[in-house]
Amino acid sequence: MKIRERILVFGGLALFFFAVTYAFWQEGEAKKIPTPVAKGPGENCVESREYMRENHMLLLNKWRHSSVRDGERIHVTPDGREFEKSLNTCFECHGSRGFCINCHTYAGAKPNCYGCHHEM
Amino acid sequence: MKKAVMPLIMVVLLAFVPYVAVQFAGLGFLFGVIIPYVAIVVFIGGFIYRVVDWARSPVPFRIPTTCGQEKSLDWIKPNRLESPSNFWEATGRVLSEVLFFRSLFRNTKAELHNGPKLAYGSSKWLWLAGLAFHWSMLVVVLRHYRFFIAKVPGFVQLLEDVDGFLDITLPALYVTDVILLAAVTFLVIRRFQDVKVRLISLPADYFPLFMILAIALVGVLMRYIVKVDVMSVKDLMVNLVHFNLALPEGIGALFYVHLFLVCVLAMYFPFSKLMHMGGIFMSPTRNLANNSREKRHVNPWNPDSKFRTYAEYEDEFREKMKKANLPVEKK
Repeated sequence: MKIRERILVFGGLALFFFAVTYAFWQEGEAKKIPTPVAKGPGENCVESREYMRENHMLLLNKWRHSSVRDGERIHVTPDGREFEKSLNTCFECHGSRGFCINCHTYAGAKPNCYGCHHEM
Repeated sequence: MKKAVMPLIMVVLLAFVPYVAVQFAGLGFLFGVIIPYVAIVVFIGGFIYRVVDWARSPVPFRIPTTCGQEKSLDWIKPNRLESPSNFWEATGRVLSEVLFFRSLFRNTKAELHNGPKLAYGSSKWLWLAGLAFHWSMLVVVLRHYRFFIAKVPGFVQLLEDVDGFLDITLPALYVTDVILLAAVTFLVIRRFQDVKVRLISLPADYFPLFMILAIALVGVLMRYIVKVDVMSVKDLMVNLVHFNLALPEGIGALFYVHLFLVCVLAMYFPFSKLMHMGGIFMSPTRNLANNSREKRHVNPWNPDSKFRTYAEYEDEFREKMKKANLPVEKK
């Protein structure tokens, strides 16, 4: 191999190696998930913790549609408890926006709630 | 048909292995930690081995396939991209191939009509689907860095914002997800639909297609329909890249299917047609300048033989040739 070919081939391979192992060179530890801490009344959430962890955005989306478009502002759980459909209801136990942002920043998923809603 | 069914069965089986193993045998550590490490070592090692192997093979002569005017006399206009004459023009041709699949753009189709008449026509669908697939794939792969790096880098966030700009469905629909699935589906159908393509298609052609389709489907399923706990998935991946061998609890089995299929594809990669990723840069027909007229390329493994020129021959036999009335060059 000529020198120039050698530089090209091994330079390219080095680039490939760096691109594939890019994540290995980055700083930062795995964060333990901040466990949802319920302050306030201490009752259960609207749904189970497992459900909320994976599907809270669907529930909030449903709340938005039904309250804004149909004016139904009260959510009734299967076991009969009633909640006002509002972010404030969430914040009663879950504190503030900081509760959302921790995980959302870590997972790189942007919630679009706060485009309109203020932190309460 | 068997050529397509066997790879399909294999992909389905491969998808079931981690599902059963994690769900019922508790082999999460094997599929979440050990196999990914093996896969990345095989992938990188195999990839480098293949490329170095190619680079070591001698390419004594220029074998560019050109479709443009070679550089010759000053008043003849050369086609710099189609028939490059120096390093930079050749680089341009390789890049146009890598980034835009230039040679695929020339794809034609042949049809036999009554008469019999053979007709050729332009056929850009393969080029379009190929380009759409590869670019989407790149974006999808880059987007996945958000699971590997604790503090999501800016370019990944930017890609996500652009990719999800439609802002429909929840979580936001990625345009590349749709394009990738559509393009791969087209590439599969293309192999079935045309008899000529079907005839030359081998299991090794179907297998990677089905693998990619399965990986993408499981990924889409996890994002939009059957949710998995993203936080523990990210914990696992960040742990892996920091060589911290801890397996977080409670990751859905579907995730292991996705991960295992990716691992299998990565290990299969260096030994299959997928190596065109490295091979495209190593293609002599693309990366060699077409300069045979201006530069002599000597085969490096020619034996060191002694040649005798005509001038030397004539020097030795000039007098005898003159006597025999043979023409000589030097009097």
